[in-house]
Amino acid sequence: MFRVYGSGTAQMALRNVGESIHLFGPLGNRFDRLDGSKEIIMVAGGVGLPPLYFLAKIFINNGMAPGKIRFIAGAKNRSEHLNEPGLNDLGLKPIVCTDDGSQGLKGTAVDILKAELSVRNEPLIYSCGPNAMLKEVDHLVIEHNLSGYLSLEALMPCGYGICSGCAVKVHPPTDRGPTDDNKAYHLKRVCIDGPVFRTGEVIWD
Amino acid sequence: MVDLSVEIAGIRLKNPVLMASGCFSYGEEACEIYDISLLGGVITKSLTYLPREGHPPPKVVETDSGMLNAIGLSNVGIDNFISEKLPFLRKHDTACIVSIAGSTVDEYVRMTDRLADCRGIAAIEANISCPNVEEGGLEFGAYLEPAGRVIKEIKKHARQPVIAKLSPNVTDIVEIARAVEDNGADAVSLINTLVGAVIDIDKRVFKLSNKFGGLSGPAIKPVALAMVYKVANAVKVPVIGMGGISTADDAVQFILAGASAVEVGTACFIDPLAPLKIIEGLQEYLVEHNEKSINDIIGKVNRR
Repeated sequence: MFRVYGSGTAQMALRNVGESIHLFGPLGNRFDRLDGSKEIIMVAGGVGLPPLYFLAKIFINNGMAPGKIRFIAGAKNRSEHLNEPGLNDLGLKPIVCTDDGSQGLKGTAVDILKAELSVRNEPLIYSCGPNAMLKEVDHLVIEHNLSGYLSLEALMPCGYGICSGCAVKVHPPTDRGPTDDNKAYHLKRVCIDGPVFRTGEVIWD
Repeated sequence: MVDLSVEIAGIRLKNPVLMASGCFSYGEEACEIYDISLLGGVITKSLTYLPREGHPPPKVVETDSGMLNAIGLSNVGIDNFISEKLPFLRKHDTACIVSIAGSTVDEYVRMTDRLADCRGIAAIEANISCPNVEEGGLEFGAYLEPAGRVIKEIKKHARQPVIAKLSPNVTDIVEIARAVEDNGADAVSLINTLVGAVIDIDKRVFKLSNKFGGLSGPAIKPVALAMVYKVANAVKVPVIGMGGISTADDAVQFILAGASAVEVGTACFIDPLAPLKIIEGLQEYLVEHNEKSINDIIGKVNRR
């Protein structure tokens, strides 16, 4: 599942069902397995939905009650909404929303998250979607003194950690010694140090 | 069986295909994918004396037939390299070439001193041509006197052969090559990236945080090939060629132009196995053309 974003994905979209492609992976880290018995809110934006669907599936297959997971599935509009029927099959009852109200509730996934946070008891947040959405989710999580995981998007030249081209700014480790360029940030590669980061870890622009 | 081994500045390479600096990190990641002992050699990410974070994102942008990068020399620093990265590289049967990039002559010298007693380092590649740092880097590689002076000082302290990596962003790369040769460089490698820029016309900003970056990939290959040919015909020391090499055909062109070895960089972002495919392709080329050794084709481009 992908969104046509640049020339690479445009070429991928021209492939037909049944054609074979070279696939290089899996790459990078993954969402941490659930710690404790906390309630979970999953916040999916656009094509960020499939990874969270599979994560929810793993949690439920490992014995978690579907009622413990609130699944927010947002998109810009109806045509960009992925409508994964598997979510209902898992017993999740997802909250569907679109920015323009063309499907489900009118509002962003972040709007829905805000409302959910006021009625949930210290939930753990998992989010995947555009970075602009993740930034807002991150701020909300910090504001409510919660924690969670964010799966980031980045352009990746190599995809396996050698070029540092996909790096994002994170808070420097407290034990970082003197550096050559005295930057206020540290960099982590989304491709292999991520794509999943802890909430509060990334420095957003 | 054809012979792919070459000798550069006294270093024996099992084949002439090296991983270019900045496209290999320090080897751990590539090692997850293939056996790096198959490579003729590897050049580490350029090291600075202290660790460097590098430029903020966006650090890369795709261009026509290439890419532009402004990584800004993100690296672990010379001491962390020696304690954490070198032991790993030493375990592999491939020539380990350490790239250093100082902002002053003194910094190059201090790094050279730190490397002097280290086992398992085949050579030092002095990066005097990084386009992505404010001071040092390009300044050394861009002018005759500083280029010669920094190589001269490194040579005074080095226990390993010194390869000078040259910038294409100069009036005459041949003069710079002669200057570093005169000052003791054991080999030259070229070309580093070409300075470039891309502007986003909707946001009206440069796409890279650093405005400018280094252009690499197939887009620069003809430029690199011409420079390698000119330099190879002007200096006596071995020339290591690079710039957009993605296939064995490309590598053969550089070798025919006078390169004794080649470095592969950006191609590994498309296919991590590109260097191995190039090594195989070189073997096939020699067989097809009834050549016994790669050495027999170095610089053997015919006059028309």
